[in-house]
Amino acid sequence: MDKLLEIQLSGWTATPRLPFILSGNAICMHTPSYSLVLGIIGCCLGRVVHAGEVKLGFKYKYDTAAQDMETRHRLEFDGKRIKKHSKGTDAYMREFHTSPKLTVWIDRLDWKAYFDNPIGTPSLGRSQDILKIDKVTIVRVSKIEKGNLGGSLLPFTTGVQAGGQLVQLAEAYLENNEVGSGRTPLASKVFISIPHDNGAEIIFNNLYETKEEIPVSFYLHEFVK
Amino acid sequence: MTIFKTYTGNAMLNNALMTIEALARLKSVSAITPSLLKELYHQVDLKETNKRLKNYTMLFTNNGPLHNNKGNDDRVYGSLFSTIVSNFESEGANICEISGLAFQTTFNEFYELALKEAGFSNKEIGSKDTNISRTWFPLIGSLGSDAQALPQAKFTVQIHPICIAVLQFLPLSALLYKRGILLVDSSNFELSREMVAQNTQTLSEKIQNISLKESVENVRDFSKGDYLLKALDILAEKEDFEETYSDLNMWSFSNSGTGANCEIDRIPNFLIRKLQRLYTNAKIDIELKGILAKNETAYSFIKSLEKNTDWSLLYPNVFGSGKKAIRYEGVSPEFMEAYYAEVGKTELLPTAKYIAGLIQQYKSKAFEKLLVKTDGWNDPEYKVELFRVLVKATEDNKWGLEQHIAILDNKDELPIKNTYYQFQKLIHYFTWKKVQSNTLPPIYVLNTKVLKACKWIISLIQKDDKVNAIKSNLTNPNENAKVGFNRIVFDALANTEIALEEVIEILYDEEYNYRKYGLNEVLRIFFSQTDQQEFEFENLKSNLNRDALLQNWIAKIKSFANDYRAYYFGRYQGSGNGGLPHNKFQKTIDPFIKENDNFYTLLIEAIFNTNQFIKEREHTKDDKWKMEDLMTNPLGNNNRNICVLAVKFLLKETSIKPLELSIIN
Repeated sequence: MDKLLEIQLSGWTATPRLPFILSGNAICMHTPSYSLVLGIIGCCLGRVVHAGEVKLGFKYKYDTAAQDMETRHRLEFDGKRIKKHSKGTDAYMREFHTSPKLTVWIDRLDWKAYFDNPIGTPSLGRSQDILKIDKVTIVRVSKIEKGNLGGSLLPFTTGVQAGGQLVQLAEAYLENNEVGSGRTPLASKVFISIPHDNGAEIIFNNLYETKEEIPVSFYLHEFVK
Repeated sequence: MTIFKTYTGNAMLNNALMTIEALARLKSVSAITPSLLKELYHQVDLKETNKRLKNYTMLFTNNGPLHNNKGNDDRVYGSLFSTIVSNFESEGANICEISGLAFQTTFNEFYELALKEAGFSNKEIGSKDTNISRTWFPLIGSLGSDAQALPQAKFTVQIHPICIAVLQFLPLSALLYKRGILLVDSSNFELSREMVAQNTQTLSEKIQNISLKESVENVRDFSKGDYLLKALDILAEKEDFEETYSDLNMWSFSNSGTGANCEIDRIPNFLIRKLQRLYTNAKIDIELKGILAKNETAYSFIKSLEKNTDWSLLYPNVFGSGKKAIRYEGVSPEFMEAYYAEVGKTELLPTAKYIAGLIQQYKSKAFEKLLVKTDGWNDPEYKVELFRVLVKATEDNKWGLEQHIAILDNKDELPIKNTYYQFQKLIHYFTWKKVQSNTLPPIYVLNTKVLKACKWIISLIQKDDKVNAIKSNLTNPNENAKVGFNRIVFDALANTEIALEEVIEILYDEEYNYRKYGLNEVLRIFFSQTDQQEFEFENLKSNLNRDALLQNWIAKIKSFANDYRAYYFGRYQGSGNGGLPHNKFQKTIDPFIKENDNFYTLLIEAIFNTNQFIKEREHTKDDKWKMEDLMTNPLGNNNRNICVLAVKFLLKETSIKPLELSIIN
């Protein structure tokens, strides 16, 4: 593989949530998850993109983490139906990232037109965390053994010389056929979410770098089929 | 039957697994089996212990079976644990989102089964919420209150029931950190495993020392620094100490009632490495332990060390006032050296020690009084007295312009501020600790903006007709602040290509206020030198060329200067030799721009004459120029200092530069 489609996105805010911290306040992960990025791609294509359709790499960075206090219109499920919470709204602290920049690399060069003219408006986190597509290009890449993977999400194995947040994540989700029946998580694994300011050089599989004046190294994730 | 081959990606579950390993003295997480869990449940009397632990409600709320006694739920706890553990499954259609384990029977099903076994009727079971909620897994969300955060607002997170059983051991290692429950989370599992084991030991000792009838209070004895010390001790014991990549995430959370919250402090690898180097320095390890062991010092120290910034408690100081005042001596010189090395500022130390030596030689009586004060560096007079010392040292060839620029707080800030607050603290520290040096260290300030600005103005002064008077005034403490530079610049315009932007950058701040005092003081140092280098004029590269607001403002005043010249030439053309009256114009402009008292009167006259000329030439009725057009600064404020500078500068420039074709036409 020597060419990939590179999509550069940026926004004012982003909220890549740390999963399974749902009560109380919301905190952010250092990077988005693969399922989230897959959702962004699907949004641009205007359809659900399945994990097996694409190989995906990304780098994510932001200026700072800030906190928002939001009014939450609470819901409750009584076992039969979803209704407004009897205690009404409440205040909720949400951590979010400012000035996010997301660069995505995919092996589907044939999808370029969708990113030039996306069908949906991509967002990273909340509905107001919209992203704009700054640039869509086909870039030449080469495989490398070691690279700076700050701002990446790597499948974790003991001995990875990287600092970050360990997270158990489903690689992707499968929409169930029946409407309202939810979705099925696929391939739950341990990942390490590496902050963008962690400049450690890491030896890892499936690393690539762009052939540019200042090359960027990234990990290209292959989903379990 | 092994449950987990390795740890998961969930910090809560991992800490619970590590607690079990510590309690059962296991060598690996893979040794945890359902039967071991059952055995351990009885061995530690989990139900009764959890009922006594105050941290239990912070972890699991007080809505669970142990604390909600309305339905006599206490009896359900043991039944549920036993049912889950006895029926452990490792295969099935469901995948646990927390651990990745496969399973078939859900928590709801086990819960209902346990309720039945505990003697509850079907009706009673139907009235109970048997879903997984934050009562069972901290912060996981509940359909009854966090539904909007859960999938489609009607599905709970899919969790293997064994995780719920495993988590029941978490209270046995849960200490407090920042008023929440501590979770130790690292990609270096050995580190977190060992830390959890120590926490388990701490809590187990506490439990054993309290009567069975009493509840066990939360352990809140440790600060961030204590936990880091534990981490450093653990890392020090590892054979591959230098090669291990270790980071640490310290969670502080509470799942209790409406106060549920979570935050994570990140201790990156580079900070741990810095701490390690300090910790292994035998000269300062005890001092470091003391700093990290106190909450009031640990947080600020770690933050400063991480950000490579100055830590205020390095220096002597006085806290409080009157009888309650506490004198603080600062850290040891060895600690100071080590800290400065870690934050990459070692080069400041030799200069500070050298100045401490100069102080001993040149201090005044007034300065002596300040030097004996613990927090003398914080006195406004300290800077003044220190500057006097530096001037005296300069006169004795022991100090100079470049050395002085090297100690400024910001060597790249214009207009120049002659402040050295950072050095003041350091110099006072070495004076206080009686550490001095007689060697003037090498200085690297060549590319600083301050040095370039100094050379710029010095080169103009050195070529000025009144150079001796200027030098004399700059070196005279009573006259120094009175020295101005506008006249020097205007005179230099005849022979030197100077841009107005350069003058503004050197002498005016961002709001276009005149700021010359820092420059005057620094020039005092230069002209006090016994050996004064001659500088060639070199233009400054000013960023103001890209400032559209300023450029438009300059263009406007330049346009007035051109109009005025056009008027002047129009009126006096042919009066002498028949050509354009360049010399006459110059002779009119020179006294105009030297004028201070009558400047406005002359400017009003110039504006009037120019307007009349334009009205006649262009047959218009309205005045083109008004006083306020010229006396408003680029930000639109009535700040006349910079306006007067610009009008004079551009009139002078116009009188010197050859006439542009556009004007002739």
